[in-house]
Amino acid sequence: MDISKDLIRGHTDTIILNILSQGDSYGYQVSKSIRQLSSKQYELNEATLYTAFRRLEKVGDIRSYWGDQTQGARRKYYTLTDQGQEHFKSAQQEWDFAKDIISHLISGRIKDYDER
Amino acid sequence: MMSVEMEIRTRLDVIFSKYTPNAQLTEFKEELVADLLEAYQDFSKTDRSHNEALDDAFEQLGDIDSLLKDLSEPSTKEETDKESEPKRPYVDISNKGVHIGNLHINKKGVTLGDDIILDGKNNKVQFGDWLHVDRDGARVGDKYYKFEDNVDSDINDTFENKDFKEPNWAKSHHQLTVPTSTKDFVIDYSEASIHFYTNDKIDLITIDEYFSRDNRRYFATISENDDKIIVNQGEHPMLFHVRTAVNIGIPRSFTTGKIEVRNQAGSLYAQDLVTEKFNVQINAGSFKVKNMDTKTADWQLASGSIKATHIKAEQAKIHAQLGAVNISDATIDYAKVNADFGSVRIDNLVGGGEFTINSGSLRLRVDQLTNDLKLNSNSGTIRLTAPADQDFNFELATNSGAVHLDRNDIHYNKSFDGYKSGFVGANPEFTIDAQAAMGSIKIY
Repeated sequence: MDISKDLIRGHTDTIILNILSQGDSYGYQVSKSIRQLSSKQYELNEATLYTAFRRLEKVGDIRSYWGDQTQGARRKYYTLTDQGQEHFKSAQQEWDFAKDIISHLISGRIKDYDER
Repeated sequence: MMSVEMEIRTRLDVIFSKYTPNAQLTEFKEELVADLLEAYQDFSKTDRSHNEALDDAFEQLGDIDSLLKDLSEPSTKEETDKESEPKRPYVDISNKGVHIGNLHINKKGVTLGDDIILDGKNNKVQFGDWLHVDRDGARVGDKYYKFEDNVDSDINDTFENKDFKEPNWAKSHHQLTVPTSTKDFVIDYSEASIHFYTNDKIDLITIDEYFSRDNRRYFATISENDDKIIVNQGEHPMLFHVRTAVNIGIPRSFTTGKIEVRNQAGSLYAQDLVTEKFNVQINAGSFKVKNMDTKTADWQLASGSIKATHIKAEQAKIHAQLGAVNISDATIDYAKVNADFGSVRIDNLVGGGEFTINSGSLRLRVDQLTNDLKLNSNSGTIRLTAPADQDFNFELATNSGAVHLDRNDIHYNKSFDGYKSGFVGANPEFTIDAQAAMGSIKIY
């Protein structure tokens, strides 16, 4: 079973912020990290990833710079800004708060909660 | 044999060829070359052939067409505009716009030839490749200037991270001091981010200006007349952005200070101030204030929001033409709050006064009434949480909509769907008068 795209879509930015919060990275490496973190259960195609990079850069959560590879093509690296760090922290808190409630809402049985 | 990098470039050229080249696309192509090269190297470890690895690398890229379309957007749009416009005389002025040669001014913006100068739809200014301004920043040649983006940040972030030190982007610093006096102290800026705070001086107002460019002509000047001391912003160039921040320190003991602030565009922050008068006039920008004690306040914003917390005032007049008013923990004996287009929300108010909204909602939570309350709405709902332990008279009227009074011990004089009057409790002292032209009224 694949994870539903609709379920994960709203979290794309937070996923990227989480990866960049652990060190600067570039497109291909971020997509590899996503595969790794999801134990290969989720792949974010790079088109989506590059779109997200541009969106995050525009709002100021990340910045980019060119690497100084001496051979081959130069890589474009992305780094988290202070604002991105803040947004990442609050997104994580929002998720921690929401995940249990959503789980109860989706799997909970009403009679287990019907005390009164 | 062609190198892998060249093969990748050739394939990318084919994909990119559908779009008019621009700087963003070129940069994106470079980014993709490095990423695809690495993907290719990974795939070659397992794939049997060179082409398989190359195809796999491109396949995992996914569909980049919509992104390419986005990145190429400005240039493709110009082209369709050009094609759809018929031949017109050299000078053509109609209600559709003004066209002189290849200069076009219409509701879409201003264009000169193929260059968009002012793009009304996307809120940006662009002149060839040389000048590009949008709401995030400005690029002139190869230099990029980012605009301040702290307007929307949370009120607590703004204050708690503020150390009133030199900003990291500052290229020059200018300090002025003004002795405290009984005259009105006027701060007049056309575009700046202004912070008021309490300094450690006895009788000196301190003004620290910071600029992103070093030029003495930007420095403020001080003038004085019989009843005013005026600090005027120095030259402010229109052609390029000079970021300006001003920190104004008011002595703690200067509780008789009469302060007026004008800022055409930009934000204003004020915290921990005790004054006699604190007036604000902002054309475009926001005003955030925390911990203020003043006898009178008159805050006028043409477009932008007001966020205030822990406010004490005998009289406060607050008017936002376009934008929201958000106040919490306020003791205002008589408030006159007005929002034309935008909502008003006031939490934990001790006081009374007049609250008027034209279009938008009005939400008030009153802890204690010390005056009558008059609420007016043209289109929008009025919701009021009246003090729990205070009795009051009421007169509530709406032309279309319902009136709800969610209290015990109500004594009605009149009670219809759209009109209710009477009193709550046994000892009403103040009157709550609410009128809504379109929209309902709810009192809790």
